[in-house]
Order: sequence, then structure tokens, then C-alpha cells
Amino acid sequence: MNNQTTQIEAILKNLKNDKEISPNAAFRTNSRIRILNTVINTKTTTSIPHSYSVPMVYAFRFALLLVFLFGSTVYAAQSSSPHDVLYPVKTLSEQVALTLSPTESTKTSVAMTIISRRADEHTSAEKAGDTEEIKQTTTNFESAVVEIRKTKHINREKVEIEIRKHESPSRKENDTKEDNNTTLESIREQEGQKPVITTNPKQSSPAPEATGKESSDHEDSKNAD
Amino acid sequence: MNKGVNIQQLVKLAGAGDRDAFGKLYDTFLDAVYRFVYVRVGNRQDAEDITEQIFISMFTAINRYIDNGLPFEAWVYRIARNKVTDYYRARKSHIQLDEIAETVDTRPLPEEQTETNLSKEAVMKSLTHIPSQYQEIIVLKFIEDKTNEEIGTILEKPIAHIRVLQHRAIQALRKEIQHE
Repeated sequence: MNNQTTQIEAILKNLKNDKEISPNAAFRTNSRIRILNTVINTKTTTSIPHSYSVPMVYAFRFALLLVFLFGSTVYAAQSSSPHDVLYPVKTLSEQVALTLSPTESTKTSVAMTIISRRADEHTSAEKAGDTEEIKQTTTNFESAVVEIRKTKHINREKVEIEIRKHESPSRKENDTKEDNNTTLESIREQEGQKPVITTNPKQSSPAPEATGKESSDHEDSKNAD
Repeated sequence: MNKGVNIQQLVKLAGAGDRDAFGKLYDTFLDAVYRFVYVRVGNRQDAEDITEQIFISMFTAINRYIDNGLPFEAWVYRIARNKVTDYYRARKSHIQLDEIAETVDTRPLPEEQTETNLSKEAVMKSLTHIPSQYQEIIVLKFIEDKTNEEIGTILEKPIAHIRVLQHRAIQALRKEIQHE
């Protein structure tokens, strides 16, 4: 019995090199070509279903957008002012709306609304004459501008027009009002910007034009040195 | 299989869609996979078809293989086992040989048989008639020369069980040869 077992084991060990149990040359070559072609084609086509998933992603984002926009708390927060408890909810909902907007036009529209809202808040603060709130709304406006400029897939031209529309009158007003110069300077100092130099009229006068672009504002201030 | 090839490196490249890496993996595993399948199905045509399906499945799912202790080779054998199971399931004529071997075996014991001269053909023929788990053990242990530990990883069984199965597999093969 042991002899037979040994014989079986010996035969089995030799089967590894047996042609009958190995793939023949034709199969080896043809199968290799077929498999590689199939796999490469499959790998290429697997990216195609992505086109089907894009509308799904948009639909999901849009649903989330609706939930955020029409949630009761979010809705209540929309009319809040910077000093209100619900104000962070308002800004958060705006950021969510901006991020989840499915198309460029929607995103641009949301961005313009945000700019407009920050500008309105600033105007209200100025009307009320609350120095702290003016400072806060100016910071909010400029932060919103920075964030929106970082946002991708928006119509930059429209957004920049909206920014200038709201930015210029405020700055002009601040620059022309000598009474407000101290406040503006302190705000700029706190924001890390150089204050507008009022001692040299040639340097102070270009400021209103320069305010149209954040970066050029910095440049002009540097040149003033 | 060619142990000199850096399998992990090839798997990584293949995962990134490198055609040459797929080719090298095919060359490395073809013979072993084919032999494993051939012993299980017993004919060249089906062995070729299933082998091809195994490689296509393996390459299309290669990104799902994660080296978390399971060697790539074991992963390949698991795909091969699943494909052979699918093949028999599709044919629906597969007899549950494992059950028969455990329950209904009225043939004479090997000890009662006279020893016969063994031929390669007789062994091959008998090999296709023994239960599938014995076929797997025999092909991995004696044809592919795997260690019990490697076989345990591939078949997802403890090493002690592999030793027992190995003994039973040889006995079953002997019995089958004598019965033929």
C-alpha cells in the first residue's frame, strides 16, 4: 500500500512538467492577446459610466441645496444681522448654497447675492452709525470677497462687477469723509493693510480707484512707502 | 510560478493600467492556474475557457486586491476556485462528490485490493473523479509543490486540517485508481 502511495505521489509530482496538464502554445499566445485586449478595453470603458453619475451627483447636490435653503432655521436666519445669534447660520447656508450650486450660472447668482447681502449689511451699519458694526461688516464684506474669488466655476466677470458696484461707493464715501478717516485707518490697520496716507494728497487720491482691486490696493500702499 | 518576479510591483503597475504588467502577471500565473483548473474539470476545452475567465476577472478586479496579509497568489487561487464552482453550478450536472465520498462508498477498501501497476493516465483519469477538495489539495501539494501553510491560506483551512485532507486525498485517489 505504501509502495502504491509513493508511486502515486511520484506520478503527481511529474505531472507539473506534463504537456497534457499544461496550456498549449496556441492557447498561451491567443489567450494572452484576448485577455489583455479585453482588460484594457474594460479599463478604458469603466470611466464612461461616470457620465451617467454626473446628473445624479447634481441632483443630490441640488436636493441638499434645497434642504439648506428652505430649512426653517436657515430660512429664519436669512434676515439676521451680524450681531444676531442666527447670523452664523445665514453665512453657513450661503457657503453651502455656493458650494452645492450645480451650474456656473447658479453659483454666480449665489455669489452675487452674498456680495450684495454683505454690502447691504455694511450700508445698514453705516446708517445706524455703529462703529463696531461698521468694522465688523467691512471685515465680513472683504472676507466674502476673498472667499468668492477663490471659488471655482463662477462667472468671474459678473462677480467682479458686483463686487465693484458695492465696494466703490463705500470706499469713496469713507475716503471723502474726513470724519471717518480715523475709523477707516483703524480698520485697515486691523486687517493688516497699510492705512491711507492723508498727509500726501497725491497718494491718498488714487485710493478710491485702487479699491476696485484688492491686490492693487496693497500695491499702491506699498508704492506710497 | 516564477518567484523571482516582484509580484507586488506588477500588481501595483497593473492596477494603474500598465499593459506590460498585466502581461507579466499572465505569464507568471498561467501555468499554475491552468493546471489547477484542468485537474478540477478534466478536459482541455473547459480548462482553457475557465482559465481565460479567471484572468479577465483577476485583471478587472486587480484594484480590489489589497495586500493585507493575503498573498496575491492565494487571491488568484481563490478566484480560480470560485470560477470552477460557477462552472459546475452552471452545468447543473455536477454531482456533489464531496458528499458521496463521505457517505456512500461501498467499494472495497484499498487494503483489499491487489496492487496494480500505476500509469500516468490512470492517475490523471482517477484524479478527475475524486472530490473537489481532494483535487485541490493534490494539485497544490504535489503538482504545485506548495507548503501546508500556503495551502491553508489558499483553501482557508487550518494547517492541521490540510495534513488530514492531504492524507485522505491520496487514499481517495488510490481507491479510485483501483476501482478504475
